[in-house]
Amino acid sequence: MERPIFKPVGTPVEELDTPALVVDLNILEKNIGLLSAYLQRSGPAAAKLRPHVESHRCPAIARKQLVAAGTVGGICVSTVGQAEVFAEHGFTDMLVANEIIPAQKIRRLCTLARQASITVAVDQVQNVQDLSDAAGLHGVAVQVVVDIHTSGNGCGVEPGQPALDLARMVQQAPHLEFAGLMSREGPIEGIQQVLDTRDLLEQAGLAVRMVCVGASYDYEVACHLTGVTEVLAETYALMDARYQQSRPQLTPAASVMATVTSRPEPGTAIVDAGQKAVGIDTGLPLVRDLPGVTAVALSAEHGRLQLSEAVESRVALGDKVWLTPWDIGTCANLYDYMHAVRDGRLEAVWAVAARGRYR
Amino acid sequence: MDLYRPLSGTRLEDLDTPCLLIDLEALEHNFRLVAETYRDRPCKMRAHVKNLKSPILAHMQMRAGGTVGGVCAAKVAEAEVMVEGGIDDIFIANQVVARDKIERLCALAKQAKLKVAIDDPRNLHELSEVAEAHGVTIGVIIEVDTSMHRAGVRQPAQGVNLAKLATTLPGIAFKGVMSHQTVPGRPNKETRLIEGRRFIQWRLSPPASHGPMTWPGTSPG
Repeated sequence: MERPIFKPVGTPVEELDTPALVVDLNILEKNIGLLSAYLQRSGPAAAKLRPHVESHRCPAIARKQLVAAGTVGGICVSTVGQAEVFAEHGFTDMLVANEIIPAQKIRRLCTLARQASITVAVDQVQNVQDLSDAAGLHGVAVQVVVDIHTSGNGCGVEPGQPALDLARMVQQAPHLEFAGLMSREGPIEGIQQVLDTRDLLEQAGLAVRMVCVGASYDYEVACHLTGVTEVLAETYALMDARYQQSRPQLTPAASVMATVTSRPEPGTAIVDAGQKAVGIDTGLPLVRDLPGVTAVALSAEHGRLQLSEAVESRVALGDKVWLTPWDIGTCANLYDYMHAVRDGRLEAVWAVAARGRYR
Repeated sequence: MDLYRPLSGTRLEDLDTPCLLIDLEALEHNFRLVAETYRDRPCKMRAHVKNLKSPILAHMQMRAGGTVGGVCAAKVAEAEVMVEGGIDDIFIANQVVARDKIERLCALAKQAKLKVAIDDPRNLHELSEVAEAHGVTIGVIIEVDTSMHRAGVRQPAQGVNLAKLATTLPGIAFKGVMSHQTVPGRPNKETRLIEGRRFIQWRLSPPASHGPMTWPGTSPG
């Protein structure tokens, strides 16, 4: 567990203990507002947003996402553990966008269904049987979406007839409610396969109430496709360096504030944030607000910055440096708390309550 | 925080997944190997707890033998956890720069023997100032860069100047030198040993201009 050094509200951000995960509230609210405004402008026929909380795991941020107009009023999570945390924080409509297989996890899911409306993904026959048996035993109703495999190496049943067969099975299972379809599809062709499957199911007499697809990178397209009911956008709220490349209308709101702990030679600065404070799984962070400074390597507890000649004299021992993580999902998962800052001053400290809830 | 606490005796296949497992027999074998390697040597092991992250594992290693009776940590917060876990000799193998953190380091030094790595005179002055205010002594070890191109003095003369300064400042006890090492790529065991020896030798050799000096050296990792 992190050992946070709490500072009073109003503290200038530079005085926070480092490394610190810092969220700029003005930017966060702008990002959330931008998606909300887009969906509102798109009219009643457009799909609504179901924020996927995997990338921040923070109930305070999820609350802001749901308060904004244009959502279905519920969230999407990846694991039963995440669903438990968000249920404890008062969220009552959750899609667990994953297959839940072990018996003890299915039992937890069913227990949770007493407190919240739970929808879970399936992609195979035995799992449908197990879920139905457990739901019957617990006396709860579990809603089920059939997960469609459209591209990549993800989970899911093949679109078309295999999906129809599985959907029928869900509908016939005594303790399950067939809710619809979901997919972690990539390009637009993937969504089309899901929509074709939806038509097939409707023709076969199955009511497809939910079709959940899309992400932060294609919400404008996904929400306008006839048949799509929910867009599962995730990264848009906090954003990161990776998504910034393809989504310039959104701005990274989260950064890791680090301290320069060594200036061993000209052109090099070492900061106190490395892999364990930033995450490195998919790429290096970008240095914010300091042109000429580049993060070139992270080891466990150190970050190495390269300085151009022009900024050489502007980076001193003890200075603060802001790193925009390449992947905010792995970064936020490293922190128990994020510091919410407005105009350079601490406004709130938020628990990353579902951090580490990978079970 | 991970709240999963299965009962002792739970069968492996009944554990919820994903689950980090430690094979205790393998762990004890590794601890014994270290103990035997260092039994009759002047050099002892100072286990770096940034990988163990757990006082109980550090205690197991120290009980097995072959250690200096203390541990190495990467961060002030790790040192705090180890002190709470009953370990009273800790070397923070990193620079502690922010004022808040220096304050925490010095407060912790009231409960345990603490050493910290340095590579900068300004940092050394600040450590001295805070240590004196707290009435404690902080051990300092000069970090020498031999292969990581990270923190650490680049020239032996810089290290000598820092060491001389350390011996003059209140609240500071000069303790020696250290270096983190790496061998680029994926070296085999022989290359790793040869390169490691070369780096360590470089660190132990004092610059000719300052005459012979013997420094206790340490090499975490």
